[in-house]
Amino acid sequence: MKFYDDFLGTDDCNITLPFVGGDSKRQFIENSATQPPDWYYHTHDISYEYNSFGHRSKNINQIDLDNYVLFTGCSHTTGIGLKLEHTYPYLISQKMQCSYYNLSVPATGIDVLEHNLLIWISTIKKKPRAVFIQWPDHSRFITYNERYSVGSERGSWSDDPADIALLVNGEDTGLFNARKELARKLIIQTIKTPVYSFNYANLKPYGNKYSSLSQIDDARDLSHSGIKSHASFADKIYAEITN
Amino acid sequence: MQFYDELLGHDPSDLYNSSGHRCKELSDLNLHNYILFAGDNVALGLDKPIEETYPYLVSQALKTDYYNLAIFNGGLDALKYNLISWNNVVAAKPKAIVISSEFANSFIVADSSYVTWKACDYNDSKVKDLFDAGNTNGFFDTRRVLANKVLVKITNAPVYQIVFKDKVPVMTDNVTNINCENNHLSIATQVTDVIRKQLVKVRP
Repeated sequence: MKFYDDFLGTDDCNITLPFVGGDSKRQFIENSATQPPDWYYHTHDISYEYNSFGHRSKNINQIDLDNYVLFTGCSHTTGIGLKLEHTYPYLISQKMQCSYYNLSVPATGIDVLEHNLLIWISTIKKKPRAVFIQWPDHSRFITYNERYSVGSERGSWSDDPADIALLVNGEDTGLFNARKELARKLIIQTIKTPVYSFNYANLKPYGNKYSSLSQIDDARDLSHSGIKSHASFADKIYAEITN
Repeated sequence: MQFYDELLGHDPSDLYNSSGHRCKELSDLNLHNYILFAGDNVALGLDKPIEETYPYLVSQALKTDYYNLAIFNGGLDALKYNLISWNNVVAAKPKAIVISSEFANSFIVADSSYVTWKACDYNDSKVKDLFDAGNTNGFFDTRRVLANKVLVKITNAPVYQIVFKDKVPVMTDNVTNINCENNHLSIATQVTDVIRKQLVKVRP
């Protein structure tokens, strides 16, 4: 993970990749062997196009800042394991007939989400029509090495003893609860535009009125939500917006 | 600790105004001529009368009004939250922002229902373990890097940072550092001198 003009993005920028992260080529080969002959991904490829800020999105200067919406979250919002056209950000923006920017960074948590949104709001003067926030697991965090200008994602998968101690004690002391709610309050009061909050599956909600992205089918990596899940979720969110 | 119209303040007490801050009421503040203070224990000066604290002394010397957002043991969490919220809540820009933090790595904790808010307890063994872990893996350093970048973007006035010996400063960019001893009179003198010089510089 790197900073690009103060935004945090993946290490991959200005590049198109056939596989990324957990949706690796090796995983694909393993998954292929277990899937039926009509599995969609036997015959369809995925292209991950990352822009100049390491986001799976058009560049800022390519979006219509007079008519756009903003998405942020983790890998579920990036659409890992899905073609771009099957991801819920793409589908919702199509339904709303507007441009969109996707600030999400896979495997990251509240700190990156809050940071990117606050930087967006303070940098891009034109406001989005709406902001869609997929709140990630609240215990995730990043560490950033200023000397080498590289950040790394930490979470339940970390095996570093210090990371594990921080994850356990962050939960037990209430640090993560406070961090989550402080971020939510700051974002809501700073954005001043409609915010739609939701999370993945059964993660603990961040508010009262809440939706969740369920997993009714699998993406190519057999780990993230699939094509039907994203389409159904886009329908649900769009219905919330229009009602 | 609780929220008052978006700002984070102390629980009600005779020491604080109705927003839980050690200064006059926000509604009484001269928004055309004020300095904003934020930080933690030193900025509060709870061991002395308010008239002997450096926010009061600086504002008297510079003939300005002031508001003090400092939170006891609030660390970077409270400082960042309140400065950004202030920017959202109060339209009038301060003439200057003065920050200080004795305990930048301190953090705020809350229960899962967000009813109880307080500064972490340094005597709690889990807090101690968390400090050790966060200093080892870079959690606290990273928190400062992120906060610094956001505060540089969002703060809308010159920022002066009181830096105490052996204490980690919160901000590294777009800030005027003032190295001070932990003595309110001396802090006030130094801060007043630096701000006065800067204000003279920007006059036409």
